[in-house]
Amino acid sequence: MSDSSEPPRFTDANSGAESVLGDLFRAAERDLPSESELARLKARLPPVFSGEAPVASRPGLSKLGRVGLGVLALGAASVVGYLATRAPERVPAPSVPVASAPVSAPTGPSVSSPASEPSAPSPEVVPSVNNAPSAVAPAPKAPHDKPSEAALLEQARRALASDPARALALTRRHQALYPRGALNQEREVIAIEALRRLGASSKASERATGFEQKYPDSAHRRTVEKGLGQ
Amino acid sequence: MSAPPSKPDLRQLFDENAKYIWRSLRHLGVPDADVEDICQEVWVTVHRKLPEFEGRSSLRTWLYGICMRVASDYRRSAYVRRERPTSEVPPSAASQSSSVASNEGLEARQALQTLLGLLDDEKRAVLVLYELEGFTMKEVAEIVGTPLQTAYSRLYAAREVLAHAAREKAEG
Repeated sequence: MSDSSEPPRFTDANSGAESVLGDLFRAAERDLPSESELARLKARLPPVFSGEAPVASRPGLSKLGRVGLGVLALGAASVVGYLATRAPERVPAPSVPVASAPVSAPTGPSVSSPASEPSAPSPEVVPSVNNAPSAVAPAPKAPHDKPSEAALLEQARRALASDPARALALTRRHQALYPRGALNQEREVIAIEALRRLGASSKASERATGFEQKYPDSAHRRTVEKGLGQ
Repeated sequence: MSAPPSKPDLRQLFDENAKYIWRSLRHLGVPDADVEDICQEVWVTVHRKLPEFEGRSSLRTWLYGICMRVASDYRRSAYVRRERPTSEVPPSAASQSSSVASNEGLEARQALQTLLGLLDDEKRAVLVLYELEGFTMKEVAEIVGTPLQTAYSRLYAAREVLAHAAREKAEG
């Protein structure tokens, strides 16, 4: 790939410090992921990467916009950033209104009783004075109005810092609309962080325990543990 | 009138480049524990932006441009600055990687990571793209978004830092 006007690469060196560096870069060239690592990565990507049917045709999922996918991927990865920038003092006082039972889903399992999540009892009432209805009303069941998984969770992620109650409500909405969604892990990460920010440490820990039991090999496990200071 | 270029196949793009993107991210300072997450972010971004690819650059340089930006954003995040010494390869994470088959390979990777950690992100990116990924300097400049001369300046500066560090280590 090089031409005569370009400097020789370290891997071209025959002696001296440059050849030592050449050895290191040659070793680095062989430093490739394993097949299992690549397979695990591919499994986390949209089906188009595997040559499968488009996401929109998969049951249980609405049409996932490309923008939504990209936004969610950025959001999921940057949950790490949010957790890092969290300040304990930002956990709101108990007077912050919290979404509770009135946030109900039109269909699917109970909003706050995940079908297979052992650690999220219903309803998720956090220690606060007010139990005002969530600011997020569930959308009526209309396929063309149904927000995508990615869009919902991106809204939740964005709300974490300023309005964790809303973030939590949005995760419950996701749970109701997509009980077998492709982004359940990402939802749980956001929900756990929302609970933590709301001061519901025990609830957050319970849900984190459930997450680790359900997804023991999750790439988000470390994020969850760090968020809880583990 | 020439026919428009055929739409690149995502699966083929992934199969041909995924392992190199993974390798690059490792050497751009993404810790092992986060490489898979950041790779996912790169490929989802590729998926989202592929319709905008106009063919003005090669697909590979376009792909690596995305990789560079994602890696740069990651390293700038407060999380990384506060919680990760990115020049270190955590033993537990490294030992889980089946791509480093021998202690010798692991030591080489740790040594190179330490050296690369001496560079700022801009020099590091240019060096990794040229020395490790084998791009021409013209391609490197295009990927990192700088004039060619600036890319050369960064390359020479990066090489000098590494050569000096290697000489000092050799001299004991």
